[in-house]
Amino acid sequence: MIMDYDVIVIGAGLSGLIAAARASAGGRSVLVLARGQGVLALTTGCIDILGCLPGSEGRCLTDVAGGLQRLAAIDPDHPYAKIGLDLVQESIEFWQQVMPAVGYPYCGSGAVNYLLPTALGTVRPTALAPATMAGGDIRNEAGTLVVGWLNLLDWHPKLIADGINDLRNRRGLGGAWSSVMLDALPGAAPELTPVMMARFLENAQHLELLIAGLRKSLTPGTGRLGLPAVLGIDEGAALFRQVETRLGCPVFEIPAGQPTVTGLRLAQLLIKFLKQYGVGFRFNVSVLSAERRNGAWQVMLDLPGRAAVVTGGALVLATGGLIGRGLEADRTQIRECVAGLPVAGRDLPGQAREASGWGRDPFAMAGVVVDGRMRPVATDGDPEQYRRLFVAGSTLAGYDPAVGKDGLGVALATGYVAGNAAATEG
Amino acid sequence: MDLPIRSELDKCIKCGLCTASCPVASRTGGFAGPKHMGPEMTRFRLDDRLGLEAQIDYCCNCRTCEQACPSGVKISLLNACYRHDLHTRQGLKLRDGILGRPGMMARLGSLNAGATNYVLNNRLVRAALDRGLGIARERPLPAYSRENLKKWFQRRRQPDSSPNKVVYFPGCTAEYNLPEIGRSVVNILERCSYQVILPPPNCCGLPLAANGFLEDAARMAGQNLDNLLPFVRQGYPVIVSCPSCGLALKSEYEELHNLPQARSLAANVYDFSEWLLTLQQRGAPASGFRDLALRVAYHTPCHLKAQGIGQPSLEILKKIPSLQVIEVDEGCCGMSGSFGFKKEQYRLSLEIGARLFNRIREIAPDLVASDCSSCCMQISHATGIGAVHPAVLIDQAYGRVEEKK
Ligand SMILES: Cc1cc2nc3c(=O)[nH]c(=O)nc-3n(C[C@H](O)[C@H](O)[C@H](O)COP(=O)(O)OP(=O)(O)OC[C@H]3O[C@@H](n4cnc5c(N)ncnc54)[C@H](O)[C@@H]3O)c2cc1C
Ligand code: SF4
Ligand code: SF4
Repeated sequence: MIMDYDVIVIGAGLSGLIAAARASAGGRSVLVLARGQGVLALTTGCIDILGCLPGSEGRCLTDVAGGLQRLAAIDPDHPYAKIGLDLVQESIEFWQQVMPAVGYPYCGSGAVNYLLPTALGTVRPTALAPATMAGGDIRNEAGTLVVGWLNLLDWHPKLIADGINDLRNRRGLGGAWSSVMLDALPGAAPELTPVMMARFLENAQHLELLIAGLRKSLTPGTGRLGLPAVLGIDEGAALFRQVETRLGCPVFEIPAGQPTVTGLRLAQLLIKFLKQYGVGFRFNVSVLSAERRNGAWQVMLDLPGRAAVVTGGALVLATGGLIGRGLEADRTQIRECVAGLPVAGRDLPGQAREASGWGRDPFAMAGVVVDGRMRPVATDGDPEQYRRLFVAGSTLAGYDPAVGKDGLGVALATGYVAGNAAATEG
Repeated sequence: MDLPIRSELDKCIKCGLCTASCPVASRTGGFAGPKHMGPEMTRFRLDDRLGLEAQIDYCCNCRTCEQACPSGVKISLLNACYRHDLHTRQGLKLRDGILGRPGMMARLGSLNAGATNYVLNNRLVRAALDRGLGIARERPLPAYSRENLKKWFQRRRQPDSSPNKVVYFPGCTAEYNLPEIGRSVVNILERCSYQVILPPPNCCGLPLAANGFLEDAARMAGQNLDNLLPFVRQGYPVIVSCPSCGLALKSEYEELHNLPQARSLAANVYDFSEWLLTLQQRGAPASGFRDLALRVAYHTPCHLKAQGIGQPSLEILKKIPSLQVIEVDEGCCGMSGSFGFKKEQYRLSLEIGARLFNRIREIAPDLVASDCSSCCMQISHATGIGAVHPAVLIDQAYGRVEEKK
């Protein structure tokens, strides 16, 4: 049987992209199929590995390495526990190798969390932060100035400075945050979303105007500048570098708005990098079904005009959860849409609603149950039917990213393991 | 309406909580409720005062948004219907009618190709077209060929009849402007032991639809269905070499025009490279490329991406020995068929493609390859580097030397 690709990945969210990167690094030919972009462009692009331990009443975790040990001990169904912490660590190292080549470097070892400011003046614990954001840790005692422009929507510098000062006072930290609202950016539309502003600043002359305006607002007490994440999309971290060098003052970005500039940057640059690496991509393609036949995965595509089949030796299912539409719920059942895999929590929609343990949402916890190599655990029928099928990301059961603050971390780790298994396991 | 109200509308995230709490809507289905009547209807009522309606002409129909949308919304189809609706209300533009009918213009232009090309390149004529019609004077117009594809096809010695037959739908460009594309496609298909059938020359109708002339486009589509379906019923596949023709035949005839039987045509339409790659993967006679010592930059047209078939021509070009092919992955070129011809959109069209052109200049290839001749036109215009359809290169790699006329 001639196989079109060694590995087919369904889904272009972070878990699918990482699976593709790993399988491709393992020397396999890889095709990614996706209906549309994943959730990635809606996120901050920060890789939250673990922000909150089960049962800790929402307390912000800083010691990620210790937290992971504890999590593995008390919650054996969590994807991290299944994979094993060594592989979680390996996936982080893989990330830190890949991202500089992508042109969008990240900071962090994964062992501890940064505490980064949000656009709402609250704090986000995250383990791996884009280099453009990592300088914003609220524990840093430098005098911080948050800047805004009158024509930028969804951005309120005073709200941020007040909120962070509040948090810092409670922690007894020095070095206050202040804010300044600058006049509308000249030449730009009277109302700009962060994405529009980022596009506007990709023009060199516009960036000059921005730098000139910022320079005027610097005072001797300004130890660092907090900007909305608007410093370009296609250029990765390049405009950020330019602004920082030209001002001679440390700068950091705070993501704002939807979609988020930092999320868009990550999604677009990663996809572009993987293409250059030889990974094939087809967007605007819905996968109707996938079936193992004659020793290969036959993936049925809904193309304009007709259905078509592509075949692959191994299949990575990274179609997302109820949001990415890898799982779909009706009045009575949740089902996995592509391969019809068994779903833990299948009958939830028809049942009385009860919170899962540790305040987690039962619908977020629902999904496909896998073993430590991301292979679906067959509850019925022939185990052969799932041979060389690996599942990654929020299609999986056993975690709730809203509570654990571990969304992209699980996508990274499980995508890595699934891609590795797809590239190597016979 | 001033701007604060517009941002008022943007604040609505369509959650429906207002309607759920509305006492009137809770008791009668005769009131659509606050979400519909407030922010949504306000948008409808005030849109033209914001000047938003006319902005629909800025949608260049590239379909990039559909590739991003997580929900599979057919945004560009909605936009096509909207454009049609607006233009029928406000009166269709003569200029857009001309740009929407490349086939008809070509039939006229080809009557005396030399004279037409001469006249269309005249500066005074271009100034008049610019002022009178709104066709940007800076934009080079496509030249018409002295011998169209059909004439060439009938003139040359017919190859032996083969039991394997394919229908080739060349569209307007490969028929009238750049018949070398069509000749290459025919040669390659014949080399793969197919007998090629050419249906009567006709436009696919996409340019009409993209300019708001939906009824005319549907009529064109109907003619093509009449021309092509008899072959499809005999089991012959239909090959297209233009990605926009491909998209029209594969999706617009059904989704936009709702034509019966469009689906049976669509299921049998293949992009030229999609078809050739499948043949090569099945180990068809189409192997044996010669060296082609060239450095080529490849650009994927938006309408090829929209077909979800990957990058078959890139894969084929990569197999040609000595051919160094570099993919330029910088998105839309900005031309979008007739979009880049329009006076008010000419500059914008070049700005959209600026990153692409810069990257191509950096690569400094001998040639650019792209399946869409509208992309080729734009890239050559902006960079001064020649751009060709991949079929022309593949044909050369198969060892054919273009005959002298
Ligand atoms: C608004 C929001 C903000 C968040 N912010 C953060 C954050 O800042 N940091 C963090 O760590 N986590 C964050 N999370 C959580 C995290 O984003 C998700 O857990 C993670 O992105 C899931 O990735 P995924 O690859 O599993 O799925 P998705 O990103 O949902 O990707 C699914 C992919 O599969 C495709 N697909 C689905 N079905 C089919 C089909 N039948 N055929 C073809 N393709 C198909 C989709 O088109 C898509 O490409 C956030 C989540 C949300 C919703
Ligand atoms: S120009 Fe292209 S991406 Fe923009 S709305 Fe039109 S089809 Fe969509
Ligand atoms: S991307 Fe799709 S779902 Fe999102 S706003 Fe556009 S049409 Fe709606």
